[in-house]
Amino acid sequence: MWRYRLLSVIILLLFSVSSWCQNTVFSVNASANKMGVKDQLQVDYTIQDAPNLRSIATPRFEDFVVVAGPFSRQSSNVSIMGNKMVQSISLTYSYILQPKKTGTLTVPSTTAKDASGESYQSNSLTIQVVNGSLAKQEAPSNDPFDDPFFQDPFAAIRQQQLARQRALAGAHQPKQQPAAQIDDKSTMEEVYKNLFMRATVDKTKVHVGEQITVTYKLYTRIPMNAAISKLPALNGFWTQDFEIAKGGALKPEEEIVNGKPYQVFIVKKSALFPQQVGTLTLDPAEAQGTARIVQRVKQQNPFGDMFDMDPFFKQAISQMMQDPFGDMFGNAYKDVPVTMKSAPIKIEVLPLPENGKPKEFGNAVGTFNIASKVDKTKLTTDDVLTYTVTISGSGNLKLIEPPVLALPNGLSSFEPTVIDTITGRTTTISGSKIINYSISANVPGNYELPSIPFTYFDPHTSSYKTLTTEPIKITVDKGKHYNPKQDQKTLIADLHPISTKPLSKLTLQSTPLFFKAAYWSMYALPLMAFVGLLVWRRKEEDEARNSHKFKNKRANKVALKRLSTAQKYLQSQNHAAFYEEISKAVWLYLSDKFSIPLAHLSREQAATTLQQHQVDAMLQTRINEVMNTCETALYTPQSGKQQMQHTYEEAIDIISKLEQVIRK
Amino acid sequence: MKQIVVILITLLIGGKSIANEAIPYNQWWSQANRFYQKKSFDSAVVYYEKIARYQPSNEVLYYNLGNAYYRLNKIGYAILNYNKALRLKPDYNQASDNLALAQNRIKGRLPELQEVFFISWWNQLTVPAYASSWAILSLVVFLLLLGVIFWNKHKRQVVIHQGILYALVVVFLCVLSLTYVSAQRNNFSENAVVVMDSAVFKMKVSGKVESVPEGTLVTIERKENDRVEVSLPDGRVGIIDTTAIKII
Repeated sequence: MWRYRLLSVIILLLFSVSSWCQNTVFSVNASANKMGVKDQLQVDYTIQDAPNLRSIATPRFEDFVVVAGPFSRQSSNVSIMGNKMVQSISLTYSYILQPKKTGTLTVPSTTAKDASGESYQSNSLTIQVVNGSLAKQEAPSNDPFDDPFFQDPFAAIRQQQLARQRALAGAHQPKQQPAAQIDDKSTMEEVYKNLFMRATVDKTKVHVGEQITVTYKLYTRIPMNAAISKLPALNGFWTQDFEIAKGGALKPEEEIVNGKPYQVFIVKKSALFPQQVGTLTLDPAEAQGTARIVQRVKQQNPFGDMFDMDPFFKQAISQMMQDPFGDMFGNAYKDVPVTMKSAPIKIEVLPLPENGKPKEFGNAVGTFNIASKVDKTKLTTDDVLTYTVTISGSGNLKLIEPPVLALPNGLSSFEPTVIDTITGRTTTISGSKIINYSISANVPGNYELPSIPFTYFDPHTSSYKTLTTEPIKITVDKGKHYNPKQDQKTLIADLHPISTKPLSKLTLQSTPLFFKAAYWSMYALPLMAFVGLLVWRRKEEDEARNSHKFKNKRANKVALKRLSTAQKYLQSQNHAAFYEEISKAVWLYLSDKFSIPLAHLSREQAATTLQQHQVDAMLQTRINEVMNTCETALYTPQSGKQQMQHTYEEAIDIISKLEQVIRK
Repeated sequence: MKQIVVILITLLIGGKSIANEAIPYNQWWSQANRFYQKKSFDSAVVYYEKIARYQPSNEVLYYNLGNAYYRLNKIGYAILNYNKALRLKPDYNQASDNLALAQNRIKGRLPELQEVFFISWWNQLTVPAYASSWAILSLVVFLLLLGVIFWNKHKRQVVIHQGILYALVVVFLCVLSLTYVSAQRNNFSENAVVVMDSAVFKMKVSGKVESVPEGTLVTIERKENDRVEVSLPDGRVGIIDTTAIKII
């Protein structure tokens, strides 16, 4: 047993020495060192642990054509070398090359420079290029002697020796070692006894929002080289990682598990804040890598069966004996791939107690302090005031809802801007949440920014605690753009709520009436009706006026006709008929002339009508005389021819006179 | 006769209603309101806009939409929709209150020129929403005028004095011109709202390029292809991109 120990100490020493003296490694590797001219070659330029790398010069491939590349990739790798955990970051530039000719060709070296001006030179490689293609020939490589798992004693020993030599030649190329797979279950069990990962939590029963600290640790008793391959997703939690010493080496802690000392490395330490009630599961974390195990060569014990060995084997043994660090005691070591997985952990999340929960509770769980300040206390209506509320302490800072400001009328604020800063990451997550409210004033005056109540749940005492800020007095003056009309409108503190009455009937926006034909037809129709009515009335009136005129015109004709008949009677001395005709002529004339129906016409009516028409008195008395003569003559049988002639002339004279008077 | 008049008036004023029963606007409406109350304002906006796409003359829709945009902090669109609501109903107090709130949140709001009183009177009289009222009033005055003329003719003598008749003619012409202007304003909105944050504005006279804050109400002076000549509330005239503004 002590031999094992000694060996591992020696190896560990070597590892650490080599890792100390050569921090930055710049190397070039090719996928093959022998190839056909038709094959393609992958060349990787890898620079490892070069801080502040500035540039890598493009290599000048003289014998090759660059088919593809460069492709860059970055990988980080946590490995344990000696008693140190080293996180190394390597940057690889890959090229796919095609040789131009056959023969021994050189993959050139190149240089890299870092910020401090130091330059690193890579090695160069020689590649043998033959005619044709080797790719096919290499494919059926299942040659039993090439198979590292073939139970050939020579091969096994050669393999081990090769591996050891490589391991001793350079610890910076650990990945190049062919990973020897070990099928032997018991060996792997042994490995996992000495190398495992564990997740620990400080508590498994918490309230919503209460901090849980989870630590993923790697326990090891053997040299190994591992990188985390899968980080837990941690669904249902708000996570904040604790700081683990940055980048550089971490001193492992010693921990005794089952009576054995282990070196313990903290892989990840996080503060978790559950966000939902129920049983939440912490996913396992996974790490993959290789472990170097010391193994007794079981097949052939070189010491036990020394004399049974064939010459070849003897030679191998003697070679081993020459090796200063060789397996003097018949032990070998192997690199085995290992996968470590932590066990999942169940966390029970309890809801926060409902009783005593204040209305303004904003999901804060932890221990906090609150402070508030303003950038000015005097401002104008044009200015914007910044009101800063700082919540500091430890707990689920990021999940705290910013408190709502209850501003007095006349002041208005926009949505606050929130800045979360996490300052402490040692044992609890602490920091501050800075909430900036921009407040503008619409109306000048004196205001008081009210105190803000802030409630948090203290998991230590399992109770709610409420803090309040001090109220702040501010003075607002009129600004340049102050518009008193406007402030009357803005007196409301918040929007009027929306209307939720169902839309009765959705009418579309239509063209205004003015541009509608129907509207104008409303004008046109009455207008047309109006014009039509007017025309109709006009026509009727015209007709009426025409009959009047006609009568007027007819008057003379009728009178003359009557008078001519009267003249006939005068000649024939028909006494009664003559006077009747004269009387009719005058009466009809008057009736037609003044549009008075004959039935209405009386002596008095005639007199007033004549008066109206301003017929002079002389004429009126003459008319009366003629009327009288006619009336009396009707009843006195005899009158002279002279008298009749006189009356006849009088009637003609009266009518012509009247005609003149009325025409005027 | 009365019935005919009623039918005619309703035919004239009532615009087309959404005839297609397949448009479940009331369903969208209640859904949008529910989203709004659940504070998922972006979903509410989607449903309100679904109805608004048909450009209904429903001020409440635009008012609610404005509220939703306000809650989403899209001040430009909030102001646009409040203005749309007020265009349909000028005495919509809730909308004007909320508009004032929204305008208060314009960053770097431009000062407004005070209008001469008679111009603001004129503008208030010819509000687009009054277009149909003016149209009906002018029709009534016209009919009254016809009636008076007819009455006078009928009676063969002057019953109503000539002076009144002339006054009626003047009133009719005034109302008709008010009708025309408000109809014109109704048909072509001359106002727009800047909906882009700090839209580029190129001054007409000096050619200087400045930025106009989101939510600024501008008056359209002239339209070109993709650029519009607008005047700002402070009286400056310049050219702005069409995509930066939305017509009310």
